[in-house]
Amino acid sequence: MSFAVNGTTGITFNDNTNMATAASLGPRNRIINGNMAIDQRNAGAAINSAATGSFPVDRFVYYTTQTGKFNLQQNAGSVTPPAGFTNYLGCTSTSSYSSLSSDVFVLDQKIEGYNVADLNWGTANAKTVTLSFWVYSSLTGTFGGSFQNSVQNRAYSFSYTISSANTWTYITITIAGDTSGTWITNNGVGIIINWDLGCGSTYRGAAGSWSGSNYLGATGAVSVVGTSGATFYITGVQLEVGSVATPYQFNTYSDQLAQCQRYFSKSYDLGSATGSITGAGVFGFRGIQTVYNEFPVSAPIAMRATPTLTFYSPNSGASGKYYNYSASADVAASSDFLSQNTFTFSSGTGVTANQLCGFQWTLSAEL
Amino acid sequence: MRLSVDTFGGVMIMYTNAQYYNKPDGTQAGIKIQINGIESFVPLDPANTDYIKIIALVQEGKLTIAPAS
Repeated sequence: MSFAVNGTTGITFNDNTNMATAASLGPRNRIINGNMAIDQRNAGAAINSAATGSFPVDRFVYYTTQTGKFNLQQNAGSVTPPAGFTNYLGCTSTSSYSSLSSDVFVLDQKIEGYNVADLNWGTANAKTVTLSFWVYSSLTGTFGGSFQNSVQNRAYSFSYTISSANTWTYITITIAGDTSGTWITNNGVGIIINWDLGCGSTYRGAAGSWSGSNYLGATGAVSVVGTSGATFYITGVQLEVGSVATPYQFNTYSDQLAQCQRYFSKSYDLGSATGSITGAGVFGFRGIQTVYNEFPVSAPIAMRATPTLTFYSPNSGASGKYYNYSASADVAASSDFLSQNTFTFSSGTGVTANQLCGFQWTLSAEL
Repeated sequence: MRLSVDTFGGVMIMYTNAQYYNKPDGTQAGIKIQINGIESFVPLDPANTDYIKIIALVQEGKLTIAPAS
């Protein structure tokens, strides 16, 4: 492969790939799971009539003030993804809803502060970044989104255009880093990136500049929630330093899964949704005594913070339970200890010596 | 610290039936709570997002955490 070196634009390879900065040559994508390949919670199943706080794929969360206005699913609608991708995140509007001024319909990813500390946002040395992604919608027009800090008192609204319906469109957005505000550089929320699906006017501002407002999108943008059956699909999300969008940086599946597991992990096999009725991945044990059986379980990797723990019965899918196979009963589970790396399971009084039991678990340390 | 999802105009994950739970030695271990109907154990970690939201709700008078039984 030949390449050209230019003092202004950097290195351009003969496939027109451009690397403008030294940082471009190393790991550069600050977004995790930008190709939407990992979906630990749902294993590809739809979240119909989604409630706020739903994660249709790992690291991407949906917030709303109106439950039931979107169905969310990895690869919803089964369209062909852009070349080089095999997955996307799909949002489908369930009705024609006119947003109130205070309504929120937004998809976001919160980037951990450690992963954007080098951007120097909130200082005079704030670095320029470029967001790129592929988007596909049944609607056309000007769409919007925003960058925000952790407490949502700094925002940069951006807009982008989809000219052809039901066609994958590559979007690049370059913004100057914020020289004001407080931007966290530890294991808290570093940067929030929002894609607006129909927020009300309270949460929309003029595109193209930083403000001290809680804006989630751009004034006048298309409202996906306003059209029944409207679709909004997205994949290949990348945020990188500099003013040039480089090709999407693919990770190995195992590396990407590990990145996601810093924020969410589970005992279930990857093909099983959390809360499903399955023995795949179940932690089985036999009671060694009556009343109080306790043992530790390790998380796959150290999590971002001490996680929220949920037990599930493998027999019923009920939360807060384990299943006593010998007694054919769901029993309340408990835990005495939680850390970034491990937790304990406690059986309580629902088991006697030598009875066979099992449970599933999830750990969440999402931002 | 992200103070509260209330900055999203009241966009609130449902936290209900909160109760502290203790370790066997009687010290506080965490909060047992239903999150959107899912029974979960939330650590007393100021970096845990659920804990942040729970404390914000308590401070706003929208949630009460029952003492450990």
